[in-house]
Amino acid sequence: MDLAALTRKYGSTVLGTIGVVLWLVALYLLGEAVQNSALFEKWLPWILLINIAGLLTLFVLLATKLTRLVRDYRRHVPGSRLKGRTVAIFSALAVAPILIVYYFALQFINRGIDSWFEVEVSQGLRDTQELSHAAIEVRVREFLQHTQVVARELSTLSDFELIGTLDRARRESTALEFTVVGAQTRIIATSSDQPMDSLPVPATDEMILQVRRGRPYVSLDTDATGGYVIRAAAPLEGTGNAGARVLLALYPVPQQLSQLADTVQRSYTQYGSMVLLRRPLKTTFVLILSFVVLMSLIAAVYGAFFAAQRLVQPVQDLIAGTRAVAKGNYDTKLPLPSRDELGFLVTSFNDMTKRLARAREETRRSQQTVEAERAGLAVILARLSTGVVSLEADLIVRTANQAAGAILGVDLEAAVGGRFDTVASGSTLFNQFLAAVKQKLDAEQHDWREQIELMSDSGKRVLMCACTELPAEIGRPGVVLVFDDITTLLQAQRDAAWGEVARRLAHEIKNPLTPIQLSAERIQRKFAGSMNPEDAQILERATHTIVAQVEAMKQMVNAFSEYARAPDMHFSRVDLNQLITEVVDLYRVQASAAELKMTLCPTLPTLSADRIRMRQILNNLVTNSIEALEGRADARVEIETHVADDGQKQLAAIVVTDNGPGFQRDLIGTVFDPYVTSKPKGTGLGLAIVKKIVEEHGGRIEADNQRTGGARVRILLPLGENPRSLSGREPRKGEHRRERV
Amino acid sequence: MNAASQPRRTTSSALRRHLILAVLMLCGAWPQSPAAAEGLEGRFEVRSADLELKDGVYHLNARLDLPVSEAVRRGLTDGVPLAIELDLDIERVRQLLPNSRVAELTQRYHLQYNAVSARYILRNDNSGQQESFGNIDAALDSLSEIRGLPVLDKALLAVDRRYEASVRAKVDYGSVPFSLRLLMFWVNEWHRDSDWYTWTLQP
Repeated sequence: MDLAALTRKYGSTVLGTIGVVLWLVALYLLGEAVQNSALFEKWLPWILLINIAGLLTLFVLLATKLTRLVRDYRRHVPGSRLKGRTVAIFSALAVAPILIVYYFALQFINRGIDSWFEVEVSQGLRDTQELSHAAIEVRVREFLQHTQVVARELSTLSDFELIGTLDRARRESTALEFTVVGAQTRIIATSSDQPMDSLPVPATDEMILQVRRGRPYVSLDTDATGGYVIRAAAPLEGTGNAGARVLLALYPVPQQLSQLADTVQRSYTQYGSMVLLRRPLKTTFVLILSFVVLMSLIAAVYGAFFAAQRLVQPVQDLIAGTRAVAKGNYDTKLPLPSRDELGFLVTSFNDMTKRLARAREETRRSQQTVEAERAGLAVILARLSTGVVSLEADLIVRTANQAAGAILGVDLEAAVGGRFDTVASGSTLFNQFLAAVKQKLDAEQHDWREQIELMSDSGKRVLMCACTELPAEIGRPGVVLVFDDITTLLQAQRDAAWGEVARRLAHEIKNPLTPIQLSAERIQRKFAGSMNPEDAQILERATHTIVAQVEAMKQMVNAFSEYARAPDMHFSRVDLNQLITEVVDLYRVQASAAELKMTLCPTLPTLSADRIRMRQILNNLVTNSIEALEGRADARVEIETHVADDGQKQLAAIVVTDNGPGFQRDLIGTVFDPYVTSKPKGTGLGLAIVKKIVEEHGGRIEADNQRTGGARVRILLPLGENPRSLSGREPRKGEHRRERV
Repeated sequence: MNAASQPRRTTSSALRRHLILAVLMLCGAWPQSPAAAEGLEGRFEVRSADLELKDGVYHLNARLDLPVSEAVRRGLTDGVPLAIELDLDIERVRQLLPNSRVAELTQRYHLQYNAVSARYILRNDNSGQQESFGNIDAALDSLSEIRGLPVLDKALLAVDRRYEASVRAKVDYGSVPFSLRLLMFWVNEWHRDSDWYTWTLQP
């Protein structure tokens, strides 16, 4: 699985896990920070960053999911509509209550916090403060008046007198402390109810300044312990240095009044601080609420996606699996989502695909077996030398092997699928075969076996043809034609028969010929002298005739013997051109009437052959041609050699042509049979022997007439190999060989 | 006694605050705080400071610029407290090694309006001494003018050494509970830190 697939599959999970971990870290930091303000200030940015990153991560995840859903919906991805509806329903169910709660919470925050600072509360607090101030103000005025009275009483006293008088005056009043200061706030005299505990309360600049201006000073102050005291100052008038001396007085506030004032002050301060917090507090609560609601919304919608995915995934898997099966992928196996109804469906689907896969496998094996058998059959058909053609009822070629085409001289394999009667209208051989077959089929004869004779340019061809109706089980009706070219076989049978005839003839006739000849000669010798000349002449003529005919019969028997004789060949490398030249030279020496012309291929290689028998071939052919040309003034015999190629191997070709009358057309097919001759004196064995020798060398011979007239015999001999292996015939021991020139 | 002064370093808390603001602004979540018009405004700094030797004791004189707006004045009148915390560091300057701290002092002042007495109370939280003022200007003047605060005995300083003195002030407006500060971390108008004000001290 590549990186992109991993990211698609586990990206959301990894991001979600990271987000949860970060939030846990943020919670831990927050928990630690709330106990320590320094830590709080230090970690606050990171806590904020983590939370915002978490929010952004959730938002990105949600946006990704939404984008993917919209894309799938537009592309009509299976399951996307169901998923969209599920997400919409779940989101609506989750979002609606959250939004309602959010709305009411906002209202509560706004109105609730505002209600804390109602105008009535504020005004009440102010009134309370005014009331407290007014209540104490009365007492303050009283103490100021008292201070002024005391100041007037003390104003006539000298600084020295003041010390004693001041203490008495304090004792006569409720003052806590009386102090008289002079210039530079120097203390002249002081009296306190706790003289040992503290120093006199110093005069403030404000106090001295106001008194110097001629106005008495009084104020309600708090002391160091938080209690309230009243401070008053009045000038000591009437002395020489008027205004230089000031009486400072410190009066206590009753404890109950002080406590009440303290309570009022504390409430006032707290309320003031709370008013300061009012708007930021509202904003803060709204922000926090909005943040939480936003998180909840995103989490709810994301949860809706998660739930929808869980619901839709098995359906999508099933759709994908069904499509895969439709495409032929029977190995599809869906993950089991759960053990509910969907799980049962998936299990059933998996069972179905498993069975389909098994069935397909069995079908495939069967098909393979059939294919193998068919291939084997095709190989057999292709290698078969027998032609096989199967035809449908309307003569459409269903199958045809190579041999069928080779026998009929047409490309039948290319004609498979076409009509049999339109395969090769120009082929004489095929048309004869077609006519014979069609005649049978038109006559509704579908099972027959017959020998069909066809006429070709190279002679008569005999085919053994069998027709069988195809069984109905294999499909469409039709017939199969099996045929074989038995021309060669028949020829071989004829050759063998003629060989046997010749052998017997030679054996039966040759034996009595010698006694006949000897007897005739003996009669001649014994009775010629005792007879009158006339009778002697008759006797001589008769005996001469007997001897001559016996000699002729001997020659004929020798020829038969030669034909029937089994080969005893000695192979050597033979230069055909040289051999032909020798033979032709011999005929030229005999001053033949015919012109002998040679066209020899200079690059013709030597071949392995029996030199004597090859010479016999050439002698027979040249003799045949010369005999056929007797009486013609322009008699001409041509001998040509060249290298031929039959597509498999190279051959040495010897072509002997003449300008004689040629072969009789009705004899062309049998010119190589014994005793077939058009010459009055011919034995009919010349070409038969030639053919025999050629076949013994693994070659073949053809005879036909030229278009311009005259016979043509063509011999093809294999080059570069031992023809004995091709001839398949071993010479028998004890047989003699002789060269007949 | 006091040499040329300069701000020594920007505080880490200011950095953190800027970071928070950046994060909030980055997210578009920066609230238009109504407190911005009700809290501290303007620049808060130590304008001048020096140490005065009197009777063998160094006394600190310092002048602060308070970021007090009209809204803060109104708030003070409504009972909201204003607190100043003064940090003083005296370090011995060393050539190769980091400076060594000789003295450290933190002084807290507290200004609050007393509604019952209608006076502004300025309290030294360290000594407990307090002073009352009839008007807010006198109280603020007194708060921003530190005079004769004894900080160090001369005997603690070596004559042939060089020292550096640094003063920093923090101001807090209102008494926000810590739990609320957690919630309202983004409101920065209730607390300010000044930069350090540093000068050389040669006994």
